[in-house]
Amino acid sequence: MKQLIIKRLLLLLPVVWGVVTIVFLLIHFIPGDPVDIMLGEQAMMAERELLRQQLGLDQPVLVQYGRYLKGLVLFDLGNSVYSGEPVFKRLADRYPATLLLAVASMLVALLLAIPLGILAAAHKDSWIDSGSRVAALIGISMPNFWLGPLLILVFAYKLDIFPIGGRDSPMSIVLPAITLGTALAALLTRMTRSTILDVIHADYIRTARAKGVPPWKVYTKHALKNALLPVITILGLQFGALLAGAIITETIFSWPGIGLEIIEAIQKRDYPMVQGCVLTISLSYVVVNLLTDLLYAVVDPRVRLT
Amino acid sequence: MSRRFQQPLFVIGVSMFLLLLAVAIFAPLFLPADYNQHMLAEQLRPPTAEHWLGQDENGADVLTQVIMGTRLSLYVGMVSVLFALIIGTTIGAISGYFGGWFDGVTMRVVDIFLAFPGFLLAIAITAVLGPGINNLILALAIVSWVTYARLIRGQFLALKEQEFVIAAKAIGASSSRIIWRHMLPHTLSPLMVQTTFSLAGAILAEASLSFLGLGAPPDVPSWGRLLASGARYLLEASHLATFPGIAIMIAVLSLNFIGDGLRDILDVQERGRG
Repeated sequence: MKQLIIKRLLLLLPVVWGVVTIVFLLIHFIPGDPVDIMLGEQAMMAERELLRQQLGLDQPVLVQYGRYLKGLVLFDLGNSVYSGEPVFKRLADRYPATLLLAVASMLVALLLAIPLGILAAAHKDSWIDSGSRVAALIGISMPNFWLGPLLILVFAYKLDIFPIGGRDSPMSIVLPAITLGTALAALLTRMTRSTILDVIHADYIRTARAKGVPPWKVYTKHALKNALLPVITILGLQFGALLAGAIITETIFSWPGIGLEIIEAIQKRDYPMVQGCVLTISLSYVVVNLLTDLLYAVVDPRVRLT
Repeated sequence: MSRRFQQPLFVIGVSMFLLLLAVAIFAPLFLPADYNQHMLAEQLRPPTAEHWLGQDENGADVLTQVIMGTRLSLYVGMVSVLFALIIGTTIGAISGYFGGWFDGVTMRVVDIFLAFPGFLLAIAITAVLGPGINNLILALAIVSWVTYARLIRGQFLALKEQEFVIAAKAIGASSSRIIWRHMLPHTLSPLMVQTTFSLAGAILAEASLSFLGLGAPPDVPSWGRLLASGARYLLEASHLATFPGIAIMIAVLSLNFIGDGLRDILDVQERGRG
């Protein structure tokens, strides 16, 4: 196991370097002068020079790159052009909210997907199965920036059960989590159904049935255990999509996470903050993928041997 | 009966998509109103006989904008997927066929691109380049070429060992002939399935970026931007969010129906990132 962890970590290094470098280069891809774009063309010469110095843009690119890498090691992502606050501090403040939302959406997705997937598999080729297929395709196709406002309209304005937005009460997370979790639920429902169908003809299931284990127990206890492995993988791989989807969901519900931060930063042309957000979200995704890989190895010992 | 027609969802998907395509192509012939015509006295009016889908916050006709939005979404989706398809397939084919250092380098690049959640990368690119249709296409193509590169490389690695390829090599066929004439046609099924899902993903991403104000410029009607104003006036004018939402859903759902059906018909197992 130790060897596996070291191997995966070494494989990860070039990827992390690539991500970090692309994020560094982002500001250099801005057409025209980034300082002009951040301050507007009316800004005073002195003001521009000051910002140029602050961002290090007056230095050769390689020097800038060296400083940037050194900063990263010291958790220094520069300062916000807008508020002057250190980017790292701001991100550290906002990150837990995004993580909480992502985890809550995963829970929503799992709670919906596993029962629905089992139900569809148990009634393969019946109307329940077809119904769940259509429902899953609708769930995948429903844009979250449509579902969100619809949920607000019905459950916040009309029925007044949940808050419209923000993060003032524990109830505030319900609507954003449903909005973000629906597409994932749809995907996982299909996945659960097909993995259960893959294992349902295995010998150990036949044995369980022959012993007289009731059908519901065969599905939930015997089949589900082995069917969950691919579901875990999909869940890990989809974590990136969740973090990216959180950008829209947080914007709709004013949920104070990194997603809302990046959109505000883009609107204010606060590029150091944009860079920090992109870096944080991508690196989280890389780490979650690594953890998924390792978790898979823990759950399924065969993986360790390959 | 052909297998195609045993798949009702596939047939429904194809019909819905052809309808949208017809709307996009022939839009200028039957536009009910000028989408730039602002009638401020008629802000946020609900659907009427004159304006079937109501009016927006400037009093402009919503139906006209939804129709023009179809054009934009399909255009951006198709062009970006086409670019991704050409670039990704070419790189994947060369990588899989020749292997060696080129394969090593491109696959590391692919790994780096896959380390970014796709939509986040699209946001970062459009944030840097600014809103605009060409920037939107560029961003979406940059995000999705990797899926094709990986898919085709994988297919080629398997095909390379097959007898017909070894035979073609033995009789002295050139590499480019083997790639284009012998191997690529065998990847058509997974390529078709992937393209349908990629198109669905691109349309959804275009609408999402426009919703965030990073996609279409303000003077071009788009589903995403229309929905963004709908979200601002939810209570006063729920029609404003409803109709563009339905349009996006029909477009994406039709492609998902087609892709899901195609996968069953062609019996394709692979599916990359959407």
